Amino acid sequence: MSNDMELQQDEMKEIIEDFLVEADELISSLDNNLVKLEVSPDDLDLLNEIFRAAHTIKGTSSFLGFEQVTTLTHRMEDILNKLRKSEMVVTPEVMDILLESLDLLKVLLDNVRQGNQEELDLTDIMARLDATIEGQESVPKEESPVAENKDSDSSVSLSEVSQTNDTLVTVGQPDNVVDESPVTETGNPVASEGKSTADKFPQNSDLPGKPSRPQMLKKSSEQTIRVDVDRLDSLMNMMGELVLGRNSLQQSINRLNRDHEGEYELESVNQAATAVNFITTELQMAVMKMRMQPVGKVFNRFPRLVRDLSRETHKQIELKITGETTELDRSVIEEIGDPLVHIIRNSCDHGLETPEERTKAGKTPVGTVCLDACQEGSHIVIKVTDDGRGFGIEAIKEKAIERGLATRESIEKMPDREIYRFVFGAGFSTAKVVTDVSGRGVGMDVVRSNIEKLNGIIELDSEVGKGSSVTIKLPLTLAIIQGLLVQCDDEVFILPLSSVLETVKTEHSEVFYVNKRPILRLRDDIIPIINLVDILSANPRGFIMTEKPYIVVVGLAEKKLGLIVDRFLGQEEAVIKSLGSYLGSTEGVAGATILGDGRIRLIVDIVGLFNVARKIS
Amino acid sequence: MAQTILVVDDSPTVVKFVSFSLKNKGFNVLTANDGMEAIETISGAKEEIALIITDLNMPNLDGYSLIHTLRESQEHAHTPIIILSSEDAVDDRDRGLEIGASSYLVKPFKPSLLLDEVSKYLK
Repeated sequence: MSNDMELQQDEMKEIIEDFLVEADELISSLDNNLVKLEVSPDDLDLLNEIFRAAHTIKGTSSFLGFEQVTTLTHRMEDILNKLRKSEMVVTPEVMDILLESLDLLKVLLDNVRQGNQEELDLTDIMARLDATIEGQESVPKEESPVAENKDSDSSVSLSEVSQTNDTLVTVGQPDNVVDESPVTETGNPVASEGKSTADKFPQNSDLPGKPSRPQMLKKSSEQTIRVDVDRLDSLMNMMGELVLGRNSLQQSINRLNRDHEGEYELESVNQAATAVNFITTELQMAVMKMRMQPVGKVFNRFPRLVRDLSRETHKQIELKITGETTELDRSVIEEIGDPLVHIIRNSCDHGLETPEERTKAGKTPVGTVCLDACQEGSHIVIKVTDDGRGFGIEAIKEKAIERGLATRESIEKMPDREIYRFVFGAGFSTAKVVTDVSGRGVGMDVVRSNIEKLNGIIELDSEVGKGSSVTIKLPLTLAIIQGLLVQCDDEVFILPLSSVLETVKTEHSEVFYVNKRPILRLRDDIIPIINLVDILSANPRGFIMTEKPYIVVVGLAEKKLGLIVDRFLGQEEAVIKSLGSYLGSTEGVAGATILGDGRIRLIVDIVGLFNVARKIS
Repeated sequence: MAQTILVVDDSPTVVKFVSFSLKNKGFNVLTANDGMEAIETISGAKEEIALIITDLNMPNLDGYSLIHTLRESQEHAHTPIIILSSEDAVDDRDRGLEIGASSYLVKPFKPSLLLDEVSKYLK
């Protein structure tokens, strides 16, 4: 046969790219579903779905000649098939090895993606997969595993290893060792529901004419197209230019209206302008939405994380996830994963107590970590809450004094929230905060710097014995910002509205001096203040207090700063433009934008602003 | 006039792979991601479907059920159906052929093998 039967090279390349996308989706669903399975081991629908995903990866990879992927998924599929036919039972050990295989699979696929021909050594994992299959097969069990086995026997083994809980991820304690019979001593204190499994295990999975699931994933291949990120970025860029053009057009028209009020011809110009205005706003939203991805994309990996942590730390942890459909710009999505891992790890590792400690404290043995996301205006708020032991505020105070961050007198006057802020300080994290909450705060400074990069705001709250919560506020998007226009001397500056916490017109009497530094007392908060001019203007005037100063309170990560300005001018959309390489690194300036009046104005860089402010004081 | 072949598989990769191979040989190709979709596609198709290539293990409606349904229908009681399965199991093959499939191919296979199989039924 001639060669024209075989596929062209570019066709093959396209197919492999498709395969990788498909495999990624399947693996991410496997990751989640396997964790769910551990909680509801008798969910046959779920098992079938898991089996099918592994099966598809196996089939497709064999097609394309990725032998190692095929070998590995084949063996996983063997185990899943036995689980499906209840020839094996779900134990933490079986799950461990399945999840480990899945991790290896990710590595294999990454190699494919990078065109890395190198093979991995699979002998160890294959041997252990084999051992798992054989180990469980030696377990004494019913002769006919599929049909009509008695309720009691199979449900005992299932319920002993894990609690049944439909929607929540509850992870039990680790118990028996690999190769041991799963029916041996488990010592797991979780009450079992002892659901009957036999009636859920008929051989109906292949019966004709019985669709077992509603049709949810329809023709996904035809309703989405993949677009190069560069193209989206350039679209966003042009969108920005359009917004600027629209703003400038609007101002000209406003001027025309002022000068030629009521003239007949203006009417049609106004109508056209209104339409352009409307469409531009819509278009801007649409372009922004194209870059948005559900935060669930990041949240998806946490059930697995919590499951592994609970095995490691011998705690029972329930992870509740809400708001996973909330959408964020993809550039933000990419950055938010790591800080969240830190925070959740902290909650599980240090926040939550062991089941014994919890019982002693009169709590349920199962600790809860809640992860929630929601949109508030132009912000996304992500909150991680746990019902653990909380931070010891006294311990933090002591540590802060010891490190010379505050004096004993000043710290006693500080509001709690202020005190928690110390936890985010560099170096605070590595030290032991106190013996009974040892290590709490590990990596919090890393979290803070990550959130800072995104111009986000982070806040910690806690109550001893009741738990703690970390709240992260992030701007929806980074490219087009809502700006607050403020005037200092003759200059107009733009502050990103997403960093502005509030604007106040305060009294001279509310300003105090600590170590010769002016601070503002605002309700129960103490905020250092600084003249915006001193940071940004060519002619700093030093701190001069007017009778009733206007102050903009801006936030960055856990910190706050009050900026004294002369006037508030209003609000406008601004597209950040770089200042060019010779001016690019001016501290405190993020870039420039062209406002509607055609003038170039500087956009304040909040991160830089805080740096400069620290130096001045 | 090119003959039309329907390809049914829950893996888009496989669908694409098979489609490319068939299109290269000048066939017209329709696709579906599961049995349900296949039935919808068949009933909505303007052209006559000359041959069907289907996977077995699929969500919503699996390959067995699809074949079963098609064989019960008037139009497709005799349309050639080739099963593509990743199971090299005698049981699966026998069951597939028993309910009316024409051939059984195990994944992976070379495009040429599939095309040979197709050319058995289509000229």
